[in-house]
Amino acid sequence: MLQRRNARAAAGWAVATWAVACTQAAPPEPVNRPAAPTGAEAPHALPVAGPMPARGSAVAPVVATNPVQGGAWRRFEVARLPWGSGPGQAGRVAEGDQNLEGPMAIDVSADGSVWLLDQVNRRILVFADGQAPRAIAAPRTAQDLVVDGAGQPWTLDRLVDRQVRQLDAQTGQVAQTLDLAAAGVAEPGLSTALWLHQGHLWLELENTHLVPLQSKSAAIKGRPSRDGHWLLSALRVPPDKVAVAGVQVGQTESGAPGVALQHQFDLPVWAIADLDSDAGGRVWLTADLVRFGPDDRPADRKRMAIAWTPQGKVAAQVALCAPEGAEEQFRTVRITTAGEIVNLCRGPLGIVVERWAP
Amino acid sequence: MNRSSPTLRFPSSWLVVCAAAAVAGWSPPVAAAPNPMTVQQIVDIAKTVPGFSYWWGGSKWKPGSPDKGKCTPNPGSSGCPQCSHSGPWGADCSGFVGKAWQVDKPVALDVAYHPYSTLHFTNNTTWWTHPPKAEAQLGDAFTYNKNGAGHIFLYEKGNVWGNVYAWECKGCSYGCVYGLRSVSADYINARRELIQAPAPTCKKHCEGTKIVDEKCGVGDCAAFGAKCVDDSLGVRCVSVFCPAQGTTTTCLPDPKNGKIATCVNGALKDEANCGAYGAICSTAVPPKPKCVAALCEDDPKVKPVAGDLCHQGKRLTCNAAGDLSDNPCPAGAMCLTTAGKTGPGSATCGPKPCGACDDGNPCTTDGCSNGACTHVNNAAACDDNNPCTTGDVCGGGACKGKAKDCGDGVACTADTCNNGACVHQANPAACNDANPCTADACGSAGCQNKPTNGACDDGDPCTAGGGCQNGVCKLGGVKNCDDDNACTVDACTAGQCTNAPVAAACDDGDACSVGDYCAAGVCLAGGVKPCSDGNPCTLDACVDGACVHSPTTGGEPLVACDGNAVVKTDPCTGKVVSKKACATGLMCVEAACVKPAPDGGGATGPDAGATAPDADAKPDAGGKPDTATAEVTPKPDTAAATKDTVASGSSDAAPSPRAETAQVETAAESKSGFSAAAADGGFVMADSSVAPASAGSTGNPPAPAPSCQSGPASQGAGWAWLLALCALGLTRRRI
Repeated sequence: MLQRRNARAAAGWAVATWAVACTQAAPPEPVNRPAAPTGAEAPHALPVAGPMPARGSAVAPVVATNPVQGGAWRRFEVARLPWGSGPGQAGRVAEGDQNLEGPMAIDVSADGSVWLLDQVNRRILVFADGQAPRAIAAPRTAQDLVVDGAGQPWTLDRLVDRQVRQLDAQTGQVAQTLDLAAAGVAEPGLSTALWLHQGHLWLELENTHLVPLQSKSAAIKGRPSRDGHWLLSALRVPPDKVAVAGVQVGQTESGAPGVALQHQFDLPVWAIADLDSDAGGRVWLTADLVRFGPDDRPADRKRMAIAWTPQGKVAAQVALCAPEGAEEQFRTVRITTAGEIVNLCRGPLGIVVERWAP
Repeated sequence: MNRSSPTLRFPSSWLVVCAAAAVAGWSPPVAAAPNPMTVQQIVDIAKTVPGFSYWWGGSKWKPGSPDKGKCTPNPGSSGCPQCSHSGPWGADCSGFVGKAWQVDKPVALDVAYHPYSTLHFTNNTTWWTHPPKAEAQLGDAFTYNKNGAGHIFLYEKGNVWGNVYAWECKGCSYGCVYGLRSVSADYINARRELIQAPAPTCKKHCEGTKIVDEKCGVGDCAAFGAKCVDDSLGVRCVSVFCPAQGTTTTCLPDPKNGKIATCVNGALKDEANCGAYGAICSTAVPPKPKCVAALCEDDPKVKPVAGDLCHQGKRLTCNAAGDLSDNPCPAGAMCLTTAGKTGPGSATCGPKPCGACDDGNPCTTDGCSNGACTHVNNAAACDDNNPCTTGDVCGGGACKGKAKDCGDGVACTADTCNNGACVHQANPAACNDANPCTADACGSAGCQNKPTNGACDDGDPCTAGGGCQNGVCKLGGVKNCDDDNACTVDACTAGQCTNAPVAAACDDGDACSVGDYCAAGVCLAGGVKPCSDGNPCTLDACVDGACVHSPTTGGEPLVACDGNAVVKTDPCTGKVVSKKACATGLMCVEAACVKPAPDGGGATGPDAGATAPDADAKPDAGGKPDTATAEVTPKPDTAAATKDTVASGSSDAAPSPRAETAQVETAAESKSGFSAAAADGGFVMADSSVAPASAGSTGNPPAPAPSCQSGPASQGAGWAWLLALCALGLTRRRI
């Protein structure tokens, strides 16, 4: 049944229209199949191959308007993968009475490659500029993914094995394991992000504070900004506002925010999808906005990324591909050092990974 | 199966299939109403599920069970329904929420019951409602179902980002978990109906020594040695030994050693027993109570005293704070307690006194060193108080002398000293030359061995009669062991006669026995000397080894017809014994008078149709035909006939000696096997004749009864065995 559904999904892909922001590009054609990796947990068959630009250079950019500055943001499709387990597909679980699940996370490595955690297919797909996509093995129940400065991927399994694993970047073989309980994390299920800070791994708990996994450092309240000045915290202010507080590093004792940002959207805020910053000191927040109908089901939805300057002014506001469907995902938005947005978007037919650049 | 039946209950397996199929428009099952529940009860159930396995269609788990079950995706699949489950416990998402909510009826957690799927939770409101997600509260569920895919999880609370804390049975690879998760806006909220308000609460307060908690529970602080206090720190039990606020140290009363504890806002903490450390709790040492060494306390133990004291041979020092420390005496000194003093200040160090060191031994020189007596051996002259020693002197701490010399030069005397006097005890045994023919003695000149002439024993118990000759024991004769029995071998062994039985021929002294032989040392007759001459008219016997054949007369007369008379003849002499003519109308046929046949064809027996004389009609034991009997006696069976015949014989005529003999033999033989032969159907002896026993039982005509008197001519083939029996009877009778 699963195979048939996938077949239908793939067949209907070219004509389906399931997200306004995601309909412009056709799915890439598979052209070859690299050798399978030799990880302990072999991934499913490899996805699309052939030149698949992480920066989307093979696809005509979609231009969006920056509503604040009036400038143009260019959109690039990194990948467009229908649901499935085969080459050029991304796995999901959507059958029967169980959690619906799509690819859980993405990350962007220092070289600009996009890493997609396709955990349902027990693999990570890597889209490097100018290279054929490749896959490495990944744990089935991993939910978050970060790629460190050396290009080594780390996965977070917070619910089952309760471990952070460093994987070999080429094979996916487990190179190192960090046990969360041994690191003092009493309830790993409350972790909300695997975070790299000053070259070390940290685990974010309950979207509020980071605990170190590789050092004896004290916990950090908030997410460190890339410029090293701030510890950021975000807050959903129902119905349609978000607030961001930035406490200057070293001033955490006082807790008084050095930066207090607030933004009101045109739709109610359903959830905050990401809080980050770029090297230029801009603070980024991505929110999923949903207006519900009388039946409490979504009638209108958006995913909006907003950036503030260090001075607290809105620097950008970009409408991203809004996720659709009930599949659980964990970390779907990344801000690059250069201030680009990489967004993992799901729809009834599959996923799209898009990159937005100013 | 009627899916729309309001009372229908579905088997869980069916529901799984239905849930997967997700056919829209079903009516969920309606059954008995669930019980009211509090939110806390829902949460309490939810908290038991993390760790259990996901079980497609499952709905049971056992809190605390180490076996959580296991779901395994099929090879190549991402999970259920291409999965398998092992173990007794596990649940899928809707099975879990249905059980946490206890809908549609209360069911134990470890019992499978799965009446609702996400299809029902999402599209129906059977035992739940669908309030807005924005109003979600603890114990609600977020549910989703569309196109055959659905999920439901139990909501705890949300966080600042819009994620939620949830309990859920997530999927095959994950199992049942608790954690924060993102929630798609496509989920809707569901809330169980019949949520009960939590139990009434009270404001915590004091009622005398009693404390009333938020749940209106009442406890008595006094039961714990406390009082109820309501102050700025709240309502609580405060120990009667503590101030209500602040941290202090206090001594607790204890009849033995005293306890020390810390009061923290009225609560006793870190209670310790000073006695466990050989101390008591003292309040006399500022700034706060402390455990003080008991040895440092002056009676009545109210304040420690500084000073030294002796304890178990060691010097200890107390300081004013009651701390006790070791203060050993210098080398060679010991802790001495000043007479009349106790406790701190009673100790000094000094040399150890030796006291009385005289050990009463003249062979040691006594002294004292470092409080210890010394006893050094000397070599002084001494008296060991033994008159039989001389030159006594000390050595090795003991007085020893040299034994007095009492030797007399005679070898056969034992020379000893007795109370100073020499004694020479003659010892004849030392002069024994082992010769029985000498007299051994010990004299002043030594041993003397004079020859004797008495009897002696040469040492051979089977000899006798030896004697001493000039000091030499001569051998005697051999002991006589002959028992005069040819059936033993006589011998002497170790002085004892033995007469062992031997198997050999011998003579039992009876000339009429032959083949005598030894048996168990006794000579037994081997057999009887044969004397039979084969003549039935002689009586054969052995007399003093000679055979004697005495002529006999009498015996069974021969009966025959002589004309028309029956004649009896002595078989040995041939003389006519009797002659009896047959009565008128009768004729003699085969030695009996019988009535002729009517047709003159021949005689007939008493039985009609009989052509031969019946056994009953043969001559009686006395050989006298009994006409009446022959004519009228009914035919008895063989045994009866035999008995009757004997009786008849007894009355009709005196039995012959042989007949008597036969009777005697029959009685004897009944013990020796003959009667057994008869019982076996061999022979029955009647009168002096023997007739086949089978005659009466087989119906065959009886054979003519032979007798010892019958010769071969008259008896035919029966003669040989009859003769052998007769001969045997004679031979046996002799014995």
